[in-house]
Amino acid sequence: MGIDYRDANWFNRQTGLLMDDCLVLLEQEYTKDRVRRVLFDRVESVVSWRRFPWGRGLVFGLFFGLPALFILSEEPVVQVIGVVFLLLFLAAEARYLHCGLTRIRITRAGHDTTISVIMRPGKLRRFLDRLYSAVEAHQAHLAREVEERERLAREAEAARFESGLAAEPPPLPTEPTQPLPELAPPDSPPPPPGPDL
Amino acid sequence: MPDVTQVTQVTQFRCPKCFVMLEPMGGESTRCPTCGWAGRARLFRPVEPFVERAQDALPDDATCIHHPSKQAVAICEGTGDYICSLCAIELDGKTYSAQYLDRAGKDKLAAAFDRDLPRPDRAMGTYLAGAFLLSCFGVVLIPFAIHQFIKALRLHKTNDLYRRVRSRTSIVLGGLVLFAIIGLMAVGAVAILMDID
Repeated sequence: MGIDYRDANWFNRQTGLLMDDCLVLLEQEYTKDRVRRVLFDRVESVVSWRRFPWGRGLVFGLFFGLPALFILSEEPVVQVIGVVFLLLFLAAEARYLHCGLTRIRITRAGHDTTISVIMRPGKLRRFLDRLYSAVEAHQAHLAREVEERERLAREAEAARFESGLAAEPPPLPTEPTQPLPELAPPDSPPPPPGPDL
Repeated sequence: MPDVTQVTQVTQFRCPKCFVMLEPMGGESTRCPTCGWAGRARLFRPVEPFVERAQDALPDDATCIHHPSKQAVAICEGTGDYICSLCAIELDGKTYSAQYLDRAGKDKLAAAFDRDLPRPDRAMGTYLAGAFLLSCFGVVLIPFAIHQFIKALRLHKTNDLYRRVRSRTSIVLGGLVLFAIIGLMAVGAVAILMDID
C-alpha cells in the first residue's frame, strides 16, 4: 500500500500507484493532483533503460559543489559551511551514481507513457517485477473472460440453430494459437526477482 | 453472433532512440544494432476491447426502448428501461443508457471520468505555513486550515485513491500540528492581553 514511486521530473512532481488493473499517475498541482491511468488490458510492452542523470548532477555540482570550495577559506566557520556543502554534494552524486535515472516506457495501444525514476536498484527491480506480474495477471484474467464469452456465444448459437431460429450452423471453435498462461495459486511463493539493469 | 475480442502476442518493440523494431533478448539486456541503445524489455499479450453488435430482436425478445428493432440486453439503472448493447454504458459496475447519462445522469458521468484528486491536506499545510509565518496576521487563515482538515478526513473515508495516497495517521498528525499552532496563538494572545492590562 502507499505510493509506489515518485517521478524524478524537472517541472512537475509525479507519483505512481500500482493497482490491480492499472497504473495510476498523479501529477502534483497546487491543491489537487491530476489523475492519469494506464490500463493494463492493452499494454504491449514495458521497456526500461538506465543512464546517469547529467542534468541533475551538474545542477547539484553548481549549487552544492561550488560552495564546497569554502573549505579552502582560512575562517573556521566558513570551512565548516564548506564541509557541509561538500558532504551534501558527495552524497547526492553518490546517490545518482548508485541509482541512476531509469526511464520506464509503457506502450499501450500504440501510445507511450514514459516515467522517470531515481530508485535503488533493488527497489526498482521489485517495482518492475510487481508491474510485470500485475499486467500479466490482468491480461490472463481478461483472456479467460474472452474464452468464456466465446464459449457461451457458441452454445447460444448452437441452441438457436437446433431450435430452428438460426439459418446457419455455428462456426467451429478455433484452437488458441498459444496456451494461455496459468495463474499462480494464491499461496505459491512469489516469482524470482528479475535480473539487474 | 457477437463480435469476439482478439488476444494477440506482441513479439517486437520499438527502440526508444531510433524507433527501429527490436526483439527482446529473453531476460538479458537488449542492444539496438542501429543506435547502440541498451535496455530491457518485457512483451505482453494485449486483449483488444470487446465490442458487441446489437442483435436484431426476435418476436419474443424484449426490445430496446430507443432502438425498437434491437434486442434488449440490459436494464438502465437510472430509468429502469430495457436497452440494447448500443445504448448500454457500464459505470462502476452498473449499467446506464447513454441517453440517461446525457440528460439526468451527467453528474454520474463526470464523477466516473473524474480526472482530479483533491488534496486538502496540501492546502491545509499551505494555510498553516502562512499562519505560522504571518504570526498575528495569520490568524485569519486558521479557519480555512480547519475547513481543509475536515475535508481531508471526509475524503479519506470516501475516496479509495486518496486513502492510498494519504494515510489516516498523516492526516491526524497534520490536525495535531494545526491545533498546536492554534494553541500557541491563543497562548500568545492571552500573554499580550495580560501584558496590556
